[in-house]
Order: sequence, then C-alpha cells, then structure tokens
Amino acid sequence: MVAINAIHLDQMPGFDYDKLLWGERQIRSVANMTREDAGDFLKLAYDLKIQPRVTTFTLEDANKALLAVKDETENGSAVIVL
Amino acid sequence: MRAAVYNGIPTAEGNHLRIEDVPRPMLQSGHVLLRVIACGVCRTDLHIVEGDLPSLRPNLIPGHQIVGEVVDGGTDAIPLGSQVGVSWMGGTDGDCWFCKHQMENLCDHPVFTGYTVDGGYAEYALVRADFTFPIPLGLDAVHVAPLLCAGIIGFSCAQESSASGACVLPEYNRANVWACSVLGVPPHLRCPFCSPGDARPTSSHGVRHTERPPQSSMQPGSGERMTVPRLH
Repeated sequence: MVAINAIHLDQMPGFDYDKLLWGERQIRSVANMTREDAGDFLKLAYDLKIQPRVTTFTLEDANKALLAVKDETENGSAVIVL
Repeated sequence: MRAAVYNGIPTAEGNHLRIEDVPRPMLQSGHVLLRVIACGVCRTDLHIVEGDLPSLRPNLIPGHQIVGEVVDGGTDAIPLGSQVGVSWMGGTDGDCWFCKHQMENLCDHPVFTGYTVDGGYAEYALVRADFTFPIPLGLDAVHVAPLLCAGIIGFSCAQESSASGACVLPEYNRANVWACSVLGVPPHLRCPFCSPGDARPTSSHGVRHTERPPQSSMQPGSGERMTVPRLH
C-alpha cells in the first residue's frame, strides 16, 4: 500500500503501472495526524536518536527560510530559532 | 513580541512576511503560553503565504512545528519550564463522529496551528494544552522541530502502509519514501525509523515487527527487504 499525505496537493505524480502498481497495489491518502501518532513517533525518534539535518534562521530572516524551502537550496530542514 | 506576520500583501521587497512587533497573546483557559525556542518551516507554510490555501485570517503568524517552553498556564502534565512540541493539529472539537471514533485527524472542526490560529513564527505562542507533546529529555529543540510535521506524518503514512500488520517491502519500495516523494519531504527525513532489515523497538503502544516470507508476486524487483513497524 502507498499512503500519501499532503495538506495541499494539486496533482499526484504519475505512477509507473508495470513497476509500481502491478500486483493489486493500494493507494490511500492520510490526512493530518493524531496525538497518538505524535506521542508514538516522538518516543521512537528518541529511541532511534533521529536527528535530521537542519539549517537555522533567525526570526528576522523568516522570509529567507521560506525561500530556502521553496527553492530547496538547503540540504536539510529550515528551522527558525528564537 | 516579535513575530513574522502574513497579511496577504507582499512587502515592497516581495516578501510574504512582515517582521514586526505584535501583542503577546493572553493566556486563555485550557491553553498554555509557550516561549518559542524553535519552529520548523514546512512547505505547507509556503502554500499558505503563496495563496494555495485560502486565507482564513487577516493577519496570521504561520508555523506549525513548534518547540517551546511553557511559561504560563502550566499543568501537572506540562509544568512551567517544561519543553513541549506543537504540530499542525492544534485542536479538535472532541465531539464529532470522527473524534469519537479515534479519528481526530479528520475532526469536523479542527484547529490548525499556524493557519486557523497563530503559530510559531514568533517569540511566544498560545496553544491548547491538550495538543502539546512533551519533548523527551535528550532531544534538542532545533532538531525536533522539523520532525513535528513531516516526521509524524511520515510515521503515520508508514503505519497506514502496513495496515494489515507489519509488512515486508523491497528496499526501493519503502512505503514512506513513496509518500515522502509525493509530499516533497526532504530526503534526510525519509524513513528514519524503518531502515532495511532493522527490527525496531516497541513504543508506548507496542510496536510490533514480524517477518513475513517474501512473496515475489507482490514484490517486484529484488531489492533488500525491510520491516515496517505497525502500532496496534
């Protein structure tokens, strides 16, 4: 099964039928999250020591942070640090 | 307090956000006031300021991947000084059919942090106490913040992808890599909790991982296989 989440998505990219969909695959959407999801994931993140790469920005540079996300210029997540 | 505010009108420089002084939010019943430590920047924030999502407020402080310190309204569960996270789901009505059937993510009257209410691009944020998540000691705010949307959602997708129990997938078929590819989630957040062949620990709800024999007719390719944990 392929689960897809997006707060906003105008079109789904095409799926190659022979390689990806042959064999009675399922595609479903996932909307938002529950508190249980959050609690479980944060515990897992702690247990597995998940640490994404980040690029930090000041609040004054919030527009630069948005632009970095839009243009994908940073190799990591943009985080505003106060 | 200082805040980045979106009002739908680009600045002379073409920016979507105005960095300005705004009143610090007043504590309300059932809420806590956070001193924002870090706030991740999500692509949804872009959708909001670029008008892909309809504007719901004349002035909005975006940001829904907040890590903050409780500075007012603390409770036994999240006392003053504790560090908590806040995500996109900032509240639900608790009374609709979905909420009563363990599907609060589909609530009829949701509150969305940084969209229907102000978010974390500010020095302080007022959030519902029951929609905060204590951040375990040992996880630092800057690195937790980006997990509070993409990480949680990727996790949810992985669970849904293995809804019939733990599932074995070819490496290149990783469920949440697919999901994240569609999402636009950056590669460094993809599938960190289900690396190929890894058996993973239990969560508070008991993550299970069981191996199924490979079923070649359902697994095109000869990629390395992995186990996706499913919560029950």
